[in-house]
Amino acid sequence: MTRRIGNGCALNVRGFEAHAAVFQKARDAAVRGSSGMIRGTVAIAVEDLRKVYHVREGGSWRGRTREITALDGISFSVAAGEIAGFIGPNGAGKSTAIKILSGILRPTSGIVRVGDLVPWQDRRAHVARIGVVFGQRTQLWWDLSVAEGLGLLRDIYGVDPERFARNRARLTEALDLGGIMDQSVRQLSLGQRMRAEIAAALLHDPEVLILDEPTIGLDAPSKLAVRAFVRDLRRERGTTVLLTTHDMHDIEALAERVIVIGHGRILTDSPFQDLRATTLSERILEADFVTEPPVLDLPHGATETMRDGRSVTITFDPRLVPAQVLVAQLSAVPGLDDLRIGRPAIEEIITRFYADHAT
Amino acid sequence: MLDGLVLYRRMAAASIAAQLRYPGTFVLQAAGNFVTTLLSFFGLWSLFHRFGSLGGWDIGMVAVLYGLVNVAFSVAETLGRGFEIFGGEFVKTGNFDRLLLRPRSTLLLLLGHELRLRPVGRFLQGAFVLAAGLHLSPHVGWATVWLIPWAVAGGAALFLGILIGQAALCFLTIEGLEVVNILTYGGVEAGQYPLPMFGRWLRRFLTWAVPIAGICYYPTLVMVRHADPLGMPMWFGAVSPALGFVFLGVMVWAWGRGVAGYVSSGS
Amino acid sequence: MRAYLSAFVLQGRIGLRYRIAVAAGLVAQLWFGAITLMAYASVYHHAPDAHAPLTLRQAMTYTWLQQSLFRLLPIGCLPSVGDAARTGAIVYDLLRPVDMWAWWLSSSLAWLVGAAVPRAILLAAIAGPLAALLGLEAWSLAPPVSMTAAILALVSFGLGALISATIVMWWNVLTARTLSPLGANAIAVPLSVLLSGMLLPLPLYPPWAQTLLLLQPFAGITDIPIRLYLGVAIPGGAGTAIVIQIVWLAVLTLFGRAWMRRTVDRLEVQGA
Repeated sequence: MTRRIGNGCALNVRGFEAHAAVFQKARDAAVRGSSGMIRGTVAIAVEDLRKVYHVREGGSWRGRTREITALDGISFSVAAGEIAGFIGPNGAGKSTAIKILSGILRPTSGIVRVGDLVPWQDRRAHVARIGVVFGQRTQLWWDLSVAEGLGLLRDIYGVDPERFARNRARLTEALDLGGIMDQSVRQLSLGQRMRAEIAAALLHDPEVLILDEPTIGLDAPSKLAVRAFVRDLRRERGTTVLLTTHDMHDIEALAERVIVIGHGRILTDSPFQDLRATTLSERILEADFVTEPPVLDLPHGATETMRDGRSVTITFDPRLVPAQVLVAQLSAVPGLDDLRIGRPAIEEIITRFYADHAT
Repeated sequence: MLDGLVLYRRMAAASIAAQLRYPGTFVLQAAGNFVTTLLSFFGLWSLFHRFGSLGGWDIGMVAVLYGLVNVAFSVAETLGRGFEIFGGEFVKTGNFDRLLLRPRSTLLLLLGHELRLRPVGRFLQGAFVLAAGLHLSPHVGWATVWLIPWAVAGGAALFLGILIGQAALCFLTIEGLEVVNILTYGGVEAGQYPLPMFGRWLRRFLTWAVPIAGICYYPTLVMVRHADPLGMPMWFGAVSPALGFVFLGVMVWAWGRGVAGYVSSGS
Repeated sequence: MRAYLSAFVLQGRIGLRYRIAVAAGLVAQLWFGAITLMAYASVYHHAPDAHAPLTLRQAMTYTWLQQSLFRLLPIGCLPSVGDAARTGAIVYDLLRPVDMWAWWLSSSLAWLVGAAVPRAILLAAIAGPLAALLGLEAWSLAPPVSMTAAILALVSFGLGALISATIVMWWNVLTARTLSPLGANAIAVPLSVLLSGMLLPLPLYPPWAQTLLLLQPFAGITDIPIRLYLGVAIPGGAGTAIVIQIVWLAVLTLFGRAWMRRTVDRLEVQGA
C-alpha cells in the first residue's frame, strides 16, 4: 500500500540544473580572471578527474582484476576563501577525491591544482600548505599530551617559534583548549579530541583546510563549537575550506556552495542559497489517523509521498502552501490523531538526486 | 638535512617520554630482553663446555661474533621499530595516509615513530660478550679496535635495511610476514656462528645476498687475526661492512618504489 | 561442559584461518632448523670423542621436533586475554558465572594445539619423509625408536600440551592482575625458550644442571616427550618421566586456581 509521487522533486532538480549552469559560467569567468564577480583567485581547480581502481577478485594469487571507476571525470573549482561542502553517500567517490586533493593518491587522469601545485607531483610542498582533519583518525599521538603533540607538529611543519607561539595562543583561545593541553590524547573525549585535531591542522597557517566528517560522533555543543570556529576562520583569515559531511546541519551552517557527488560524477554544483530555495525548503508532514485515512484532497504544492497503515506522509513546499494552511486543512479531516512537521534528511534528498540521475 | 636531524631528535625524545610513562613495563621488558639474549649465549657456552670448541673455533672468536651481531641488531631494533610494525599499524589501518599528509620524508617520519628503548638489554649483553671475547682472544691489538664501530654501523645498516624491506613488502601483503624473521632473528642466529660451519649455499647467501657475514664474520677475522679457512683475503674484512650500507641503499630504493605504488594504487 | 567445548572449537577455527601465516612460519622454522643442524654437525665432527648424551642423529631429530612444536610452548598469555586486559573488559570476563579457569584453559589449550598441530604435521612431513626422499636422510627427522616409544611419546606429548596450557593460564592470571599482557610476555619467552629445550636440547647442557633441568615444569612440555620418542635414557625410566609430568600438571593447576581465586576476589573488592 505504498505509493510514491516524484513530480515535485523532478521539478526541483530541473531548477537546480538551470542555476548550476549559470553559476558554472560565472565561476569559469572568475577562474580565467576576466571577472571579479565571485572572488579573486582560485584555490582549488579540478578538471576531468578520473580514478580507476584495479581490484583483485577471488584468491589472492589467481584472482582476476576488475576495474572500479571511483571518479568518472569530475570538474569543479573552489575560489580562495570559499567554504565548499562536498556531499554524497558512501562509495560515491568523495573520499577518493579528498585523497587526491590531499596528495596521498594519484589519479588515473585529469588535472588538479591546489594553489599553483599539483598535489601528487610535489607531495611535501603541497601538504605543507594544506591542513587536513579526518574525523575518524587522529593526527596527534595517543601517548603524548596535546601540548607535546603540537610541539612535534611545529617541528614537522617547520613553523618558526614566534609564529608557533602566536598561532598556538590564538587556537587555544578560539578552540578552548586551555584545560586539556596537558592531558594525553588517549584521555580526551571525542569532542575535546576533535578541537585539538583542528588546532593541529591549523598550526602552520594552511591556505586550504580539508575537513572530512569533522562533526561525526560529536555531541551537540561540540558540533556548534566546531562550526562556529570554522566560520570565524574563514572570515578572519580567508582560509579556503572543503568540507565533507553527512550532517545537513554542517552544510547549512557553513557551506556557501554545495557539490553533490554520486557514482563518481558531480550531480549538482550550486550555491547554497539555491539548494535552500529548492530542495532544502521542502518540508515533510506526517499525519496519523485513528482509522484507515481517507483520500486527501491536497492543495497545489503539497503531495502525498507515502501511505503506511494509518499514517500518511505529505511533502510540501512552504512557499506555495504555508504550513498553517495545510495543518488547518488536515485538522478538518475526521479521524486525525496526530501531526508532525519535519525536514527531509540529506540521504533522502540525495537518494532522489540519484533516482533522477542514475540513468 | 640538519633540519631533519633536529626533527628526528624531537620525535625520538617524545617517543622516549611516552615509553617512560610506564616505567614498570619498560623495566620488565628491558630485563626480559637482557635475559633472553643472555640465555642464548648460555646455550652457545654450553656447547663449548661439552664439545671443547665450536667446529674448531675457540670461544673468544665466537664471543666476538656473537657480540658484534647482537650489538648491531639491537641498534637497528631501536631505530627501526616504526618499520617493524608498519604493516599492522600503518597499512592495515590506513594510518599511512596520515603520514603522507606531513611535509616530510616518510622514512624520516617512520624512523621517528618510535625510538625503542627495550633493546638496550640486548645491546648491553652483546657489548659485554664482545668485550669478553676480545679480552680472551690473544691477537687483538688497539690497531684493530677501530673496526668495531665500523662493523657495528654496517651491521645496524644491514638490519635496518631488512626492516625497511619488510615494511616495503607490506605494501604487497598488508601484513608483515613472519618469513622476514628469517632475516632478522634468523640473521642474528646465523651471524653468531662462524661462517665455515655452514654449507656452501648458505655461505654464499650470507655473504652476497644478505651480507651478514660481511658485518660480523669477516671483520671478526681481522680483529682476532685469524686467516679465513675458505681463502678470503684478510683485507676483505676491513671493507666488507660497507656491504651493509649497500644493502640498506637497495632497500631504501625498494621502499621508494613501494610508496610510489601505494600512492598510485590507493590500496 | 558445552561452554568449554565451544570455547575450544572457536579458538581452534581462528587458529586455522591464518594459512599464509602457517606457510610463512614453516619456512622460518625450516631455516632455523637448518642453521642449527649445520652448527651441530660441525661441532660433533670436530669433537668425535666428546661422548655427548645425544648422538648427532638424535640431536638433529630433537631439533626438528622442537622446531615443529615451537607453537606448543607457552610464550605468552592468550591473545584475547591480553586484549581484554588492555581495554579493561577483563573484569567482566573474570566475573562471569562460569568456571573461568576451565573456560580460559580450554581456550588456551585450543590456541596452542590449533597453532601447533598443523605446523607440526607439515614440518615433520618435510623434515622427515620428504627430506629422506630428497637424499638428505642424514639430516632428516628420524622415526621413533620403537612402537612402545611412539605410544609413550604420544601420551607424553598430550600431557605436555596440558602442562603448556596450564602455564599459559599462569600468564593469563598474571595479565589479569597487572592489567597488561606485557609483563607476562616479557618473562614467558625467555623461560619457555630456554627451559623447554628449544634453544639447546636439555641433555646437552652441563651435567651438573641435568637433574634440575629435568625436574622443572617446562621440561614436561616437549623435552620429556622427545626423550621418550628418541629412547634416550631418563633416570628412573619412562614411568618416572610421565609421573613428573602428572605431578607438575597437578601442582600448577592447584596453585594456579588458588591464585586466580585471589585475583578475582581482589577485583571484586576494587571493582577494577
